[in-house]
Amino acid sequence: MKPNEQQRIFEEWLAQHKGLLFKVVRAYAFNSHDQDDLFQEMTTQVWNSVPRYRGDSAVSTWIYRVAFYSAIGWSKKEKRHRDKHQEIQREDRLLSQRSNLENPQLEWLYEQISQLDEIDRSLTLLMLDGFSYREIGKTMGLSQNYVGVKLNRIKKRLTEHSKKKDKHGI
Amino acid sequence: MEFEDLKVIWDSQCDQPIYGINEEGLHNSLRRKSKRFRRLIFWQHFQTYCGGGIMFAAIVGLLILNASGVLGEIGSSRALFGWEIAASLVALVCWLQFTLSVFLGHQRQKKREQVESTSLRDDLDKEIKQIRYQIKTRSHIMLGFLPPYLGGVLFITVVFGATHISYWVLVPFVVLMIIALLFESRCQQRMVELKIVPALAELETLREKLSH
Repeated sequence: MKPNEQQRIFEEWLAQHKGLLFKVVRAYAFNSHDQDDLFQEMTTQVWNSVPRYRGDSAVSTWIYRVAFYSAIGWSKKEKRHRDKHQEIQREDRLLSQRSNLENPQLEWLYEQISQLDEIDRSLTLLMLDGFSYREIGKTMGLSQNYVGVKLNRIKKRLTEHSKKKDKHGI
Repeated sequence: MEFEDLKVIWDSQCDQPIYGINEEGLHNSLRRKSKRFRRLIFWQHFQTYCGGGIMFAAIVGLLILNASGVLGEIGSSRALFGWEIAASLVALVCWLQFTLSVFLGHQRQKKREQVESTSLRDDLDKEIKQIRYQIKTRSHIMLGFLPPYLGGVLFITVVFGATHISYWVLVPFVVLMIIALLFESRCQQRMVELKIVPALAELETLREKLSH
């Protein structure tokens, strides 16, 4: 694939699916520096994945999978190298949060998601984005039954926590 | 709150993106990364093939000079003995084997990278396979580097003999090469123990989570 073609496809994907990348960033990285770092890692992996895409799955599914894989790998690496972290210069920042879009309920939901392990986080994001159990299973390489069992537990946990939150007015 | 309410909260973020992207910064970073990667690959290939090419040219050149009778007429050098010709051929085979194995390794790696994976589990399997391959090659690093080291020593022995340089001069050279080989092997082993094995363990834990 020619670099120009790769660049064109990448830009098209980024324009259409950046929201999906933002969700993964927010679920896996918890401060602006880490979010920037993870976003950079994910976009690099998405860029590298462009020539490998054969169109067998929807672009959104493909990008989600690449993003999850990058995020899980990044989390592991991040744990190992947290002390050696290099500060990214302010002017190099890739993401800027729009503060006027703060939504306390959404913040709470992301906080709940962040408490799950890496795999469950991926499953939850796909479920909340409306993917079917079959699609989730295919994306993650899991059986439909297993996905169903896992997601029912996660749903139960989330609704229980939300009820506690409502009860205590948190 | 029921799950449907959580879904409504979740969907609310789709109305407007929560981040702005510094597009120029992003493209600069991608360009930088792919340039760095291409340069790294280029140098890896360049060093191996250049080393192989130089040794191939030197050994074949020496054999041609010997066969044409020119070698015996250059300065104080003499024509090669039968065992020296055989040693040169062994050195040539050693270097060809090394260069070819590196070339084939690169080709296999390229093929592996091109295989499309369809799920996160496939990605993990691919990565685990790749790391296991790296551990395997690094565990046998002594065997891997033995042919070029042996080829180098044989070639130098032949050149020293043909040019009447004392074989004693070879001793520090051989010792140095053995130390370099042991050092390289130890470095690679440490890399496996400290970096590669922990990375593999983490990937296998993730893989396990996906299996149960």
